Amino acid sequence: MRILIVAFALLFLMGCRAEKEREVKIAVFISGEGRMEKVKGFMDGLKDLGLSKVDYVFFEGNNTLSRMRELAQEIAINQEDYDLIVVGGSLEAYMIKEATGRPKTPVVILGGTSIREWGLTKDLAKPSENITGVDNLNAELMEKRVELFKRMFPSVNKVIVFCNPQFEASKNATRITIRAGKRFGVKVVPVNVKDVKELEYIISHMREDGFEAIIITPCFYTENFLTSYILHYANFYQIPVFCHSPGLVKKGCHVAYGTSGYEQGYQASHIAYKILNGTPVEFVPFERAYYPRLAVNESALAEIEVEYNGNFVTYADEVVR
Amino acid sequence: MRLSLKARIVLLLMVLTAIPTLLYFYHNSAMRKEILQSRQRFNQLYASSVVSRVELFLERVLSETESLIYLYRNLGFSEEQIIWRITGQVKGIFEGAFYSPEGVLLSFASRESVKPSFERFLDPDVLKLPQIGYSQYREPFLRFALEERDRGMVRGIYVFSLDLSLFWQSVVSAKPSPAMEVFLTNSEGEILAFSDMRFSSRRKIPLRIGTYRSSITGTDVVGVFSKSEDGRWVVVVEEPLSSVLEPLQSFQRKALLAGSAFMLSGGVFAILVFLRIFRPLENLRDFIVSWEEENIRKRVKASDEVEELSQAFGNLIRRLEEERKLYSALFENTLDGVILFNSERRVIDVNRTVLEQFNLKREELIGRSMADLVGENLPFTSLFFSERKIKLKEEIYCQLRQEVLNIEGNLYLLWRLRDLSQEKELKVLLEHTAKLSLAGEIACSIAHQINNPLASIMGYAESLEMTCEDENIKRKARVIIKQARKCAETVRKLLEIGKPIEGKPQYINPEEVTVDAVTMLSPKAKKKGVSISFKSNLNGSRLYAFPWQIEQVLVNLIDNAIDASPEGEVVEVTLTEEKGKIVWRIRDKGPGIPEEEIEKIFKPFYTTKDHGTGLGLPLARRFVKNMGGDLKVKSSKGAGTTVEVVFGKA
Repeated sequence: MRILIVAFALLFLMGCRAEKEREVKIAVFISGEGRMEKVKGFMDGLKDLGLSKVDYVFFEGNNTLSRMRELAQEIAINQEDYDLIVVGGSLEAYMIKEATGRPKTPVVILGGTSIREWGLTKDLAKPSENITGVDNLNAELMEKRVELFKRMFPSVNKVIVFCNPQFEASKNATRITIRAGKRFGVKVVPVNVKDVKELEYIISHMREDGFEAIIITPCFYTENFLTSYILHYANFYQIPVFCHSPGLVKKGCHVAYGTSGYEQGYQASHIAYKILNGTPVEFVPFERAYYPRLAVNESALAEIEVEYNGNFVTYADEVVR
Repeated sequence: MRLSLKARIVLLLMVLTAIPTLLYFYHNSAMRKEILQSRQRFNQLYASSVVSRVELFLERVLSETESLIYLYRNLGFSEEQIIWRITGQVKGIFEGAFYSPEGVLLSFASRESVKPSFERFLDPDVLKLPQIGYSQYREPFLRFALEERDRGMVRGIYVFSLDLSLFWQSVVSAKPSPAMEVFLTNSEGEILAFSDMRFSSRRKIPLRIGTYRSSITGTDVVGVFSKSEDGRWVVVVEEPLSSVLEPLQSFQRKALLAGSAFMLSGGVFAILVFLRIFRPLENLRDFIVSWEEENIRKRVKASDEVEELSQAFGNLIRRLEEERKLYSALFENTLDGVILFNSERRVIDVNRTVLEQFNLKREELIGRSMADLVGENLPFTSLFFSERKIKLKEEIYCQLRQEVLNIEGNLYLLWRLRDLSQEKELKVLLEHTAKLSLAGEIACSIAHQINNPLASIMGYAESLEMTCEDENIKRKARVIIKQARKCAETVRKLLEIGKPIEGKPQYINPEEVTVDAVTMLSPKAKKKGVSISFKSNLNGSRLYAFPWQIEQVLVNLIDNAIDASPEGEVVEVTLTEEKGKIVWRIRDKGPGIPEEEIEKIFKPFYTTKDHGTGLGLPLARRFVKNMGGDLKVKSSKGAGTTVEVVFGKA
């Protein structure tokens, strides 16, 4: 009888303590390590919102499309195990959509470009595919980047943009860039590279063809994989590079204009929070990334000894010296 | 509807469970109402405070922008540079333009587009009041103008576009709850800003207060709105119902979990207690009821287990009591004396026969040891002694049979005693009776033999008396006839006594029997000069007994009374009915019997008469006892003797 009474008391206490904060399980699908800045911003954002018990399951595609497709399939099969699927960009969201038809678990894009072009929604204000997130407007800002590039490097007339013609969004960004180049007197030539060797070859020989700078377009391949190599070889061959994320300036990029991946991820955490609190995705519209910022790395510019408009540096919101 | 005790307790437990459950729901409902009302009041206050901040924050933006213009102008920046710096520093301003004092566009800069949508000429309305416009993303912004003055002269006019969403984030930066949505609308309910950077599509929402399904979030919300004093700005606050009720739901979950755990564990506990109590109870009930139905053959009908058990126990106890009485009666009334010893060979019980036969009291025997009674401790085995000396009050000879009883593992010894002194008495009495019987038979034979000569004597004497004329002879003949008749009467009585005794009891009239006895002894009394009086108050009551034994008892007692009475005294014989019993009292006024000798007079052959046999009284008492009556003697020296014979009525 005593044992029964003790068991009864323990059960009662356990019942009182059993209530605990719900643990959220989130699948994080990114094409490569380059997206981690956004993920960090996202995780910090959720933490600041009070969601500390989150189980993140990472799916990293190593910048390989085939691997990414496999992971997308894996996520699609087990999608109901997760409260939310977070993807690094539009490409990952596209792959999830392809793998699932229409994802049952809500998908949040940490920072995507050309959302509608990818077919991820019909209306940014009313998500139609159970996918929402942050539109970083990178494609739309390409025109502005070209303008700022020209003002920074007035003597440069021919530039290279790396793009992946396999994806419509990449082609779209390239088209905008070419159009803007025409407007500001810069010849923009898109180049598709298959590997690092090809990249080095192009950068090492581009000056011979009159190309004096590189403008990075929003394309997962360059954004995640090639950027570090581009910066490496560009610095080596003294080619200025114009990036789309101010975060890259600290990594050696000479000039950048856009919103940082961290900020995009942080902003996306608020979207995720609403969904996790039960708001249907169709009532959580896509959000614009916060206003873009211009960053200049003066020391990197000094290293490559390239000619640039020093007065324009006064326009920079951030200067790395 | 009849419910078993178990069912009733289960029902009670269910009711006890239902009460807190109902209270739980009632409490939740009341709490929900209170929380919603409280939250609505709070949100209303919050909306009012936010709407009051709109103009304030706008003033702040304008002031900050003006300061920066002044600063950068003094630093020698161009208008375009100034605009660019301001778009990077003032949150929400994403583009700007500079107009000449005449309103001609001179320069512009934008963070988003290469060609902002500024008019070539300044819209005069912007100078008066900030105007709402829509960006390339169809998002609302506020366009305002600031004059730049130099020494009192208007140097030019700056026009900036303020992203309302970013501006709104500053205004509502400290929301009470992260789940809360705070919208800025115009007076028509057209959304101007969300608290985030979402793509809107110039939506219009109804302005409501209360709990409703939000057209923005699609969830149930607690919504309120508040208008600015001029009615230009409306702040709508919507908080998801799930978020508002989260504390309640958390409490509910905890209470439900704790309650469930409590109920479950309590239920298990109750079931175990139930089983612990009811299983043995049911087993006991089933056993007793089935035993009763089998042995007592009385069906138990009750509404629950306890009543069934109670009835069954009642029946059982009644049955045990009945059987105890029966066995007690058997024990007490058996003709043999019974003494019961415990395992230590000490007397623990005796029956009435022992007490009466040996004139003992129970307490005189209880506790005495076997060794004290027979001089040794007999072994625990069945024994038989045809004759054994036992010291009860005084030493007597008894036939002793010992039996061993093993009851529920305890050993007892049972003695059955038969008083051999009575048998000895009876043996002597039998011999004596045999002699008397022989004498009687001889007497009867003689009487029979006398009868014929006596008839001849009477016949001749009558003939002589009738035929003879001599008076002297006639007188003598009459004497002969008279004496012969007496002889004939005596002979007749003798023959009557000699008739076989009827061995069956029958209803007798006590008065008639008494009269016969008195009549029989009257000649003896007359001869001794003693008279016999007889009084009776019986009203026809009868007695079921052996008539000859009653007559024998009365003859003996009256005869003794006559013998004891001095000449001239009266022997009083009374027959009364007292307390349902028939009582004879024979009283004489003789010398009486000393108290210490009263018991002796019932011993065979004890007599104080010269020619007595000493058998009269012992026989009389035996006859009385055999017929279920009692015979008592009350006497004291010099005060006469009264003998009392008591029988129960038929």
